[in-house]
Amino acid sequence: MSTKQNAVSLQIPLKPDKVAEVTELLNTGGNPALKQTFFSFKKMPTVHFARWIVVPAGKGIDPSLVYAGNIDGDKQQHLKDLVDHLGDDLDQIFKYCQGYPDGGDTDTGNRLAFLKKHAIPTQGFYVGAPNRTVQQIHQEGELYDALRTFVKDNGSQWKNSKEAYTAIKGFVGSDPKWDWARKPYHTPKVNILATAFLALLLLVLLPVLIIFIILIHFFYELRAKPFGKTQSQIPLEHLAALKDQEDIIYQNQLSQVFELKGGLRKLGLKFFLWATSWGARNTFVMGQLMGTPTIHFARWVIIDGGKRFVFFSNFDGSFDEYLGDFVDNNGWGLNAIYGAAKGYPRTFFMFGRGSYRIAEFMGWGRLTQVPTPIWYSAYPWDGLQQIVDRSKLRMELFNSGELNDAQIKQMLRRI
Amino acid sequence: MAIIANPKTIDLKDVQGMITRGYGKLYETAYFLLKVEDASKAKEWMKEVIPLIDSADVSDHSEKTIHLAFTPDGLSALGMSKENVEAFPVPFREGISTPDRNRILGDWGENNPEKWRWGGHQENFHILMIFHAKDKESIASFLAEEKDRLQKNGGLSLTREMRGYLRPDNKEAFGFHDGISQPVIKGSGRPGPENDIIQTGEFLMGYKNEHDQFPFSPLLLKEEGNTSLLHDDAAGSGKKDLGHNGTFMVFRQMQQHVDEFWDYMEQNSLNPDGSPNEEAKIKLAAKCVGRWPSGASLVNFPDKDPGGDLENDDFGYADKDPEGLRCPYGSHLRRNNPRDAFRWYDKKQSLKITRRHRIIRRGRTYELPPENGSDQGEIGLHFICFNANIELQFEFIQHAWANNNQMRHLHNDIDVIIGVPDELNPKGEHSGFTIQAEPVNQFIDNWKRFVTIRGGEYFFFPSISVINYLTTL
Repeated sequence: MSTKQNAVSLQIPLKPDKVAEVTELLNTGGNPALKQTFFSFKKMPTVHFARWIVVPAGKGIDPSLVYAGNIDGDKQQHLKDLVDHLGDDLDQIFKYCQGYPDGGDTDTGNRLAFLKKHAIPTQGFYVGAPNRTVQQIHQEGELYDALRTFVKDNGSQWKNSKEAYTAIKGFVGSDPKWDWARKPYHTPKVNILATAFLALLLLVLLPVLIIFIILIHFFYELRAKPFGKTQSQIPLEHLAALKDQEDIIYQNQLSQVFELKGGLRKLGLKFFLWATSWGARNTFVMGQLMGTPTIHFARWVIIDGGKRFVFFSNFDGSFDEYLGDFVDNNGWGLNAIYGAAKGYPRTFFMFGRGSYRIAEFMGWGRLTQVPTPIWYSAYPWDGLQQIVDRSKLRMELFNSGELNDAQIKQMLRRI
Repeated sequence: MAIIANPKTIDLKDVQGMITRGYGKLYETAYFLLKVEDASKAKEWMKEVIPLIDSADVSDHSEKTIHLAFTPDGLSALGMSKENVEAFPVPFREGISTPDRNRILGDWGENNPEKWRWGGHQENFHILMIFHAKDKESIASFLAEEKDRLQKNGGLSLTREMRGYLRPDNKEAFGFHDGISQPVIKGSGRPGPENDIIQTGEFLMGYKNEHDQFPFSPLLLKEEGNTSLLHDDAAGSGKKDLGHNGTFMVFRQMQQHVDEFWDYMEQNSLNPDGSPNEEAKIKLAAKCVGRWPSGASLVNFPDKDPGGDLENDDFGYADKDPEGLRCPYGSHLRRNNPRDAFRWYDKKQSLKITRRHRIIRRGRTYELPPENGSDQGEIGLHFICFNANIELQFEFIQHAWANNNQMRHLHNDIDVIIGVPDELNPKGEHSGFTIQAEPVNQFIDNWKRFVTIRGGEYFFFPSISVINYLTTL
């Protein structure tokens, strides 16, 4: 059995004069939402991560609220859950939104209809630990802790790995506590066919891509207007408001809002987001996205009818560590996607320069970042690699039959 | 690892000597925190002491030497305009203690800057003056001369004086040979191990760094002072560069709880009958540090300290110890410089990344007399390091590596020596240490703080020509 995680995205236009009030309300929800009184996601056991942000007004665009939920199971069910568990809280938020019935008409049906009306598609979505429910992540954490304590208390008695394996197998034995782990389960494997298809598609498209890149160079890159600022050259208040919400728990969040360049850049963005999602679903299923191993969830959503797009991510470590990780591992991929965002460091034939100018790239990152007044994590102290590793441990002990010597050693190293 | 040539390309005469040298024969150190009371007198004083600054050039080597570093308030006090002070990087401008930096660095609880002796906005000071001399007598006379000079000048007040020293055996207070692994600045003329020769721009502004980029450097935004003393911005903006040949200095006063440290090692390595096991105790401590007390590497000597005085730095982890069975993943050494084995990356990628996060360390031991009726004085380390980018070097190492309780495959371990768990982490007090072993790993639980931060600040450590420039403001 395995459940797929899904992305729910909503964009709801705000009454332009209510931005300050709704921001103040959302701030009571908290980032990180460790002790929430308002909009307590803890009531919904299917939510991995969730956030509400205020997207400021743009040129000819009203301000809006954007909601992002990374959830187990069905998206429609999630909207229903929101109404069932947090209906009153939704009402408090919605009263600042355009088109929500005022006064007594705010029954369950109205709320749900309003949410459905404002649901928008998610163009790019990556899951670091795919096919794991919130409950499973917690259970596998408990299993790890129990095994670690057992090994700590008994390890000195075991002469070799076989003895250790036998003892550990005996410890978990038939204890009904671990019944959930005995159910058949496997994490997704790399889909070789789908990966090959993507590679082949890129190969077939190569001539088109080359022309595309040349056009991008002459019509976009040469005319680009990068912000050209490092983190040390942007207003301290802006920086402080963002840093105020960071490095409090093991994980961090990033919410960025970009103005989207038009024409070919927009087309390119849609293609690369499609390819990223395809890769995320089929290729990058083992806990890293092109070498970056700290991302729990990431998504790209085109908003405001195509005038802007947002990037949301939940990751381990600091802002600097996260952006640096991407540049160290696949700066070219960043360039292909974010080259479509206004102000991005000037790219060179689509994949070159850009993020490799790391100081300017980080400055751009901060300038496009907005605060995340409500940010929730269901497992705020867990690293992505640890979640991935604990699933492997569980599978080796419960879902794999007898292990051979090499497999035993590998399993023991995880504890 | 082959020692390779490193031809000189930097104007070393312009670089303050401490960046390239540890002054291994000048055992005594002192630090003055100075406050500018009268800017024009202070500048006269600076002109007098500038000739006492050793440059990084080998021909320029004295038996006693000084170095100067500045806080943002110090630059302002000397007359630098607000515009130009604001051209400096944010961490330097804000200082070592801000709420977010406290979280990054683990400066909470006992490390809370509100409890510090100095720095972190505890007191106002402008200039850090660093002294090196070869022995106790020479430093005493040196300090007396310089105090005399300060008094005669009258433009500065001495707000704090600190002393430190280097043990002839190079051991820090826990008893381990320290300061062995140091990056070598490319272009400094000093040969070094291939993997330790690091792009100049990681340590000096005005040169390309390991990203093949010029590091962010404070460029002159408002014309003031004798700008002919300044270099042009090497990145080609056409502006004058205040950072050229200069760097940033991190100073942290770290109290070391030596008895607690060894007590903990003893308690966690007892014989089955409960009696202490001296050999096991030292081995456990070595596993936590990542070297034997002699300085010998656990990678090359996994079982026993070969003894002697072994500055052994010729090792990597990828070939000899990929599983951490010799030098644990979570050891102080392996965390803070993972060398050729970062995460599961290959050697090339590992080195590419670790080379982007190196620091030059110039720490020295300090001792303070007993106070408040205690019969034991305080001992610790005046930790000093140089880096061109505080966020991507010093702060990165402390946060992403030392304090990261889930580095690599670890589940709740921090650097036993300098790591601090996240304040709000419910499992923080249970942080431990894992010794990778066969058939199963061994665990030491219940972290204790063996190091307490007692002071610190970020400083600008300018080139000699920029120090001259500051006297013309």
